[in-house]
Amino acid sequence: MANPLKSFLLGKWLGHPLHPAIVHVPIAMWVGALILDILSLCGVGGNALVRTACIAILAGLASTLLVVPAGIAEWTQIKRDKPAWTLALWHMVMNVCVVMLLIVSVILRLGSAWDATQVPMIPFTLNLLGNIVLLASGYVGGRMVYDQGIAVARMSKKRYRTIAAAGHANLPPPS
Amino acid sequence: MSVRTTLEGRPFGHPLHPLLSHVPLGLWLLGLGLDVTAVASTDRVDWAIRGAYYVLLIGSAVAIITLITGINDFLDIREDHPAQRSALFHMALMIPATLLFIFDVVVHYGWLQGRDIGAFALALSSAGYVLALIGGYLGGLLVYDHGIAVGRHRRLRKLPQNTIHEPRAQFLPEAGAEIPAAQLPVTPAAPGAAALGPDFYPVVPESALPEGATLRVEVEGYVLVLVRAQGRIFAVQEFCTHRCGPLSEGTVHGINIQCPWHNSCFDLSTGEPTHGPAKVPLKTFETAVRNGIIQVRIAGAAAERAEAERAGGAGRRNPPEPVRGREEGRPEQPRRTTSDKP
Repeated sequence: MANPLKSFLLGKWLGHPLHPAIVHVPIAMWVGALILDILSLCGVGGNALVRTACIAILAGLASTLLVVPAGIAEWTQIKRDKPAWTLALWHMVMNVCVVMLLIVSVILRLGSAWDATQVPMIPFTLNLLGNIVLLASGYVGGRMVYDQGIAVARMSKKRYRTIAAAGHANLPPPS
Repeated sequence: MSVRTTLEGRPFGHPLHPLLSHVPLGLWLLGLGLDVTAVASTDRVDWAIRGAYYVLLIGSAVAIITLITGINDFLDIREDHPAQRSALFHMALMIPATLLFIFDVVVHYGWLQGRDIGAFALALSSAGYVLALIGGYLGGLLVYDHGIAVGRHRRLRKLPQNTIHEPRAQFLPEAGAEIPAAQLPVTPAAPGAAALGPDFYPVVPESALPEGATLRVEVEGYVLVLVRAQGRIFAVQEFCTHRCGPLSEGTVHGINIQCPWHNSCFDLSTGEPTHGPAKVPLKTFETAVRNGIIQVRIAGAAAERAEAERAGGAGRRNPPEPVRGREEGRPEQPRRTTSDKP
């Protein structure tokens, strides 16, 4: 790979595509923040959960600094005429919406996060909306892997070529 | 839809296990971060301990559901699949990680009640997270290296649970056993079978392959997929000519088979690619049914084997060299048949 930054973002050094490995962080942080918000609204946990939810959203937003470039690097690997290219575009548009909703949600909750025992309704609603879009976006992202095979067998193609050769198969052209 | 296919996520068009796994992997990390904050602070930071307690509790609860879906997915991996080992290691790391975090939740409860066990809680979270990270990495390789669960939702049938390896062995009689004529293997000695020639290998009874089903078969080192499509029986190579995906786990559409990984389609009758990234045709193999048993013709394999046996005895175990275009003009060698046996 000519471009070392792109190679890093695609996870060649890791032997595992980087984007789907690190998306666990923002997804869980934001889903977790929603659950914590619901708990605090139900009167469970008190201020600790309001603070933790705020920190979770901030941690998720911080992780996007690596997750987004890794995702864009993956997108550039998809050929323009593939259905996955359009899916990736939708995935990205939805993720931009999620990030914006959560940025506003976290700004609106920062003022009260260190005292309140319940999250205010507006930041909660924004968090809820963000999570709904996140669910849709994550589903589209998953479909790219599990339905379109993006990044599947990218790093194991030599190994599978050897297995196929041993089974007397016609092989793909060498790349 | 059965419970198992639902747990696999086939009705949702997305496997459930990797989807659910995001929650514990991310929340355990948040819990670990809060533990570090609580332990590193000079004053007692009750909110961080309480936050970590709830976050680890949610993460571990979801982990238990994730575990169930994971074991369900594991049962779907073919016995001789190269991913089988990685899946076992993945499980061997993730089950202890989940148990550690469940224990960690209990320890956090004690910490919250005022016991001075912060360092122990942090140690548990760290150890659990190291296991979860390595396990998660292996889980990712199952998808990105081995294509487990990729394209699975398109399939309505079960995946092949094993490769039919020594196809003739199951037709060989046990010593002294009486075999009904209908179950006799099709050999050059059987009535009507002589015309098939020595390159035909009986594989499975016809009833083992219903319409639209696939079977993974290995004959003389050749790995094939047997498919019944539009009432006809086809045999083509198992490996897709794009990234060598497993066609026996693919989907049958009319007379085409679709690779589960990147959706390449091939015409089963010619092996030609009809759609998708693959450009190279599949090898196709002639099939026939005699006495209710499907036979596949591996051209030249019998001669190769006879030659190997003549040359060095143990030749049967060594897969023959590719025989493309070499079969013509070869003398036909009689195969060892059951009628040779006492």
